[in-house]
Amino acid sequence: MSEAVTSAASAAPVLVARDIRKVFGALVALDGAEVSVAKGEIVGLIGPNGSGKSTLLHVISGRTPATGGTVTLGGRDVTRAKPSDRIRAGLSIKFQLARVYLDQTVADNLLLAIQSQAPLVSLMLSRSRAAAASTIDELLEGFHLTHARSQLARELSHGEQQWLEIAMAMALKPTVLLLDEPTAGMSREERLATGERIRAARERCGVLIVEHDLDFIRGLCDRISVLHQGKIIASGTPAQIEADPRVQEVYLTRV
Amino acid sequence: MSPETVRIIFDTLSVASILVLLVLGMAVIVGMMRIFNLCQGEFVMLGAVVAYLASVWLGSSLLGIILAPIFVGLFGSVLERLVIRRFYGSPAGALLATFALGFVIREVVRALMTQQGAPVPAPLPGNFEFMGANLPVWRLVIMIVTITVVALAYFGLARSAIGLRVRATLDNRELAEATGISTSRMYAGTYAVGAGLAGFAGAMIVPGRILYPDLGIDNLIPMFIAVMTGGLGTIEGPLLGAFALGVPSGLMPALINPVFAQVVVIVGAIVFMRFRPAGLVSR
Amino acid sequence: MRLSLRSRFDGRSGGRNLALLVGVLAVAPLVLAVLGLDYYTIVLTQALILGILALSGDLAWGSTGIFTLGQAVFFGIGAYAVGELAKHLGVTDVLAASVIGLGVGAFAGVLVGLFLFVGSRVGELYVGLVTLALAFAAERFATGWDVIGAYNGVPGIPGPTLGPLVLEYGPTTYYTIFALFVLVLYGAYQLNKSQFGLVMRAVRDDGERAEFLGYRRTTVQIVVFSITSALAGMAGGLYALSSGFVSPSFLGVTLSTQVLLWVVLGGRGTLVGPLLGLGLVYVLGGRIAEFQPQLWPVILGLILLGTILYLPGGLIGRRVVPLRKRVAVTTAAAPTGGGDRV
Ligand SMILES: Nc1ncnc2c1ncn2[C@@H]1O[C@H](COP(=O)(O)OP(=O)(O)OP(=O)(O)O)[C@@H](O)[C@H]1O
Ligand SMILES: [Mg+2]
Repeated sequence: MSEAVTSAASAAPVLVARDIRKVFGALVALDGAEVSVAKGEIVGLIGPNGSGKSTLLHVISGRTPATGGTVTLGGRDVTRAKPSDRIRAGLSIKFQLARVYLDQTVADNLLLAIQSQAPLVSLMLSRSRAAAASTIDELLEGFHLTHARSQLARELSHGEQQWLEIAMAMALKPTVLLLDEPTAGMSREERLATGERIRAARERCGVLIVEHDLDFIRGLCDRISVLHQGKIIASGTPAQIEADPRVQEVYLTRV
Repeated sequence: MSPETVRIIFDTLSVASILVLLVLGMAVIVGMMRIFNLCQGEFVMLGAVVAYLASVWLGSSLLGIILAPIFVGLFGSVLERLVIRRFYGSPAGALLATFALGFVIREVVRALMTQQGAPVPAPLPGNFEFMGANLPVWRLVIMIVTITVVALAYFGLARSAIGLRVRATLDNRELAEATGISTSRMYAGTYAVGAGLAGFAGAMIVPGRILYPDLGIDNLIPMFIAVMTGGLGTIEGPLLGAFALGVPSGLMPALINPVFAQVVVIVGAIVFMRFRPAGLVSR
Repeated sequence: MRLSLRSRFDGRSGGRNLALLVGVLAVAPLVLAVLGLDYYTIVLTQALILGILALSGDLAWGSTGIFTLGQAVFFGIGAYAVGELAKHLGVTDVLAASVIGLGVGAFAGVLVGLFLFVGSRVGELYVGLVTLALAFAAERFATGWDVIGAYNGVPGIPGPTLGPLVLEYGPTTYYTIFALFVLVLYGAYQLNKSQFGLVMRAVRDDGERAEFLGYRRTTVQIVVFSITSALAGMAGGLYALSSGFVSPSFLGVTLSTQVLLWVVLGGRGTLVGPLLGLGLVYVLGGRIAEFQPQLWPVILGLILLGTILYLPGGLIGRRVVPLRKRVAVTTAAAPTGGGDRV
């Protein structure tokens, strides 16, 4: 684990969000929050309910415009870029509430992710459908969804829908992967399997995970940042974070 | 001022006030309830039907003007109970359903009407002289009534305690239910008011003109554009939109070909809506 | 805010139904001739042309969720373009008319599409109202502009030809139009089935999600809108030739809402459904209207209302679930998806 930290720290970050502010009317959801992720690094983001974790991911992904601050992806300033351009620049996100295409089959959901950057004309001619089949097989295999290949996503269990969405996020071959509560509603075994997939993904990208389950995040993350009332109040290795009295005060005691 | 100028100003205000009167009911249903009510034009037409029947059976279209909001309002509350109610939360479904309702109403009236169009006599026929211009009395009545009704609606719906309750209900259904307001009755009532106002408008504008089945749908799109231009969520927005649309519609025919005048106004409104989707007045 | 009225064919199946329909249409003139109902071949010819319009409405709304209530605008533009060219320059070739219709329809579609979809996003219902208003304005405009005949439109358009052949009314014209219709139908079917078809449905079901997969929603919408406008223009061009006149109503609200009616009745996103809807309203309804001119429109309206209330997937939609329940499912699935404004 410690080598990972040093190697990650030495690499240039693929994602930097600096001094992010977000206000909703009178509510300050983010108040100068910042986070950075390097290639090969898994960063955890924790904090009490309503502390602004999802909002931070939304600002990074372009779902919500920031009130202030900058977001850079691979050195490029994307603060004003549209979501689709951020995705094309290497970002990928799994939302807190699974948002898959319920009326499409599982395989088609994955195909949608795999083919998303192909030119429209080649999509009209279905040029990459055959080539995508093997990628779909691999993803289905990796997420234990092979049996559900031609079922509608609507027919999947809640945990399976989460998996499908994580698989879609990974199918984009991102350089930065944002996961908002990827294991919510999963059984212990399912969590372990999810952890495996995330570890496998780190080889190609940096990962930012929002989680409530500390056991899950402890073994997985190189670094953890703690968000409280829109500010990062602590950042460090899992051990450092658990030992930090401020963190215990705002977060650990409440769980 | 030459009589010609007086006439143009009078016509402009007359067109604008008719549009405002027509939009009033829509301001309630589309503006406040946010139901894209495509049968709103038919409510107007039904109001005109009531005025016509009153003039034939009771010998007074004036009586029809009083009866129209009652009948059309009741009719609206029946439709709300039978159909509209199913589509709260599905605006597109509501749009389709009201389109179908309007279609049925229109065709029923068409099937029942024995002639193509029926003239409705004006309760106060004749003209009056003003600064040398000869102007129809009934149009002046429409203007005065419009101003009165707008004022009543504004204070009755936008400012009164009942109005506040209605708006609270429409804004947040769960919260309203939690505070003990009967939301379903509130919805039905509001819809009926919107329908009744449209019926009233229909009965007001038809005297001196011809009643025909497409009377409503022919006015529907200008009404909708007025509401969208004005902005949803308030009573005053749509009325302002109607005025903003009505004035150029009334004025331009004096300057350019009337057909193009309407096209110019509509296209202008579409462009405006595109760049300011919230409308003139937004909350 | 997205439409939850849809059926399950979704371009995944329905190929067999389409083949069956094409088969029936292929022999229809023969059957009609045997029955001594030759006149209906002409009615069917017009229906095939309107079928292209129905398909365009279905691709836009049914498959992609672009709630267009102005398909007639592009139909009318195609009709006027071909009508004027046929009358003044003698361009009566059906293939030339198709190309001209496609061209002017696509051109107008790109312009309107850019206006509707580029820049700040507007909601689905806004698209509906704007396109409806556009149809209203277009009809008024054509009614007032004497260069294109004002009230009278373009009467006396010479009949269709194919190369050196003058197409007689009846089976000759029918089969020529039939060939074009099948071509369009096949293209639409393939488009729905293609990878792009999947993207269309993704944009329809949850456009914001599609953007977070990297799709450029605006581009997809403009492309689809342009394709469907082109098809509507083609239908208009053919209609002008085959009916011999163009009138301002070709551009208007009534025809636009007819397209909506066919699609709602038949079933969105199914291709075959809207064609059946058209058949019901135009062919069968037209026949009934001949001896029940007053009752039929009322019945049609009631059928439409009943469909919306009880068969939200349309006549051929398999899923017979009341709209209310479908809505609940959709909102539960995407509670954070309320990004669209009206
Ligand atoms: N669109 C919005 N409009 C207004 N307020 C919002 C909006 N989105 C989030 N908020 C508010 O911002 C604050 C932060 O919300 P956020 O969803 O980011 O919290 P979170 O840390 O992800 O919480 P959880 O652990 O429950 O997911 C909350 O108070 C929330 O109510
Ligand atoms: Mg959250």
